[in-house]
Amino acid sequence: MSTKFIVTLAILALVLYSCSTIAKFDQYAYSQTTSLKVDAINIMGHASDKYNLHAAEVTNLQTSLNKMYEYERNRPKNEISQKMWTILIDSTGNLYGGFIKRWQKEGTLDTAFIRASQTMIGQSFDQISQLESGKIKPSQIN
Amino acid sequence: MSTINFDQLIQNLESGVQSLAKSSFTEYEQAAKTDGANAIDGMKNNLQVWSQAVANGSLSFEDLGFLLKEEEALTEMTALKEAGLAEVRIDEFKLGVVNIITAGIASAIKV
Repeated sequence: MSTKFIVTLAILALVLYSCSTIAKFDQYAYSQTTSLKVDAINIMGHASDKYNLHAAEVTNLQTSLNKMYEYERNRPKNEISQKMWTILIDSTGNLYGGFIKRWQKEGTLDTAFIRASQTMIGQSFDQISQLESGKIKPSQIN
Repeated sequence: MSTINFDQLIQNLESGVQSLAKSSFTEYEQAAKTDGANAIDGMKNNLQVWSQAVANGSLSFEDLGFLLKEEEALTEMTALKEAGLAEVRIDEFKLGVVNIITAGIASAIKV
């Protein structure tokens, strides 16, 4: 009886330990998110210039964002972060992807609009990095 | 190995899990409420600033329309972050229970 009880508790502990709900903290994902935020805000700051003048920089950053999306997509139990990246870079949406699409379409954008967008798109990147930094770190697991 | 006091072990597990649940989820609830309140304040401020900008011509109606949709997308991002952090709390709770169980077993088995 006593041994069975202890074994049952040990199995319960093992099951709880092994089945996590969401991905653990990833230093690379966190660093890349904060770094890409700075690059995105910088590029957006040029949107009062003609788009063609900055097309190459935009393409380079888009490649980095796509790589990041792929990285996040392939992390197990990472659906929420992946969804956040999808919303952020979607060119038919209204965050970074939509902003760039509008810049491409209109040629130049107004300064007041750029500033307001930089704030909100910056905060959107922050939501992704805040979720990442809130995840369980290896040091928290005994 | 001496006899294990099961009543004591179960009592310790129960009280440990109860206090863990209380501390984990109360802390999360407070953080989520603060996040929500900040989001609403941010929206109010933005609406005020943008309306004035439209009135003085520094923002067009198209700009305003786009910004309102940006705001909506940002709200969705915040909600997703909160949903993710809630999942993290569940995992932290599970880890806490594992620690309580292992500590309980270790203290119950007195070699």
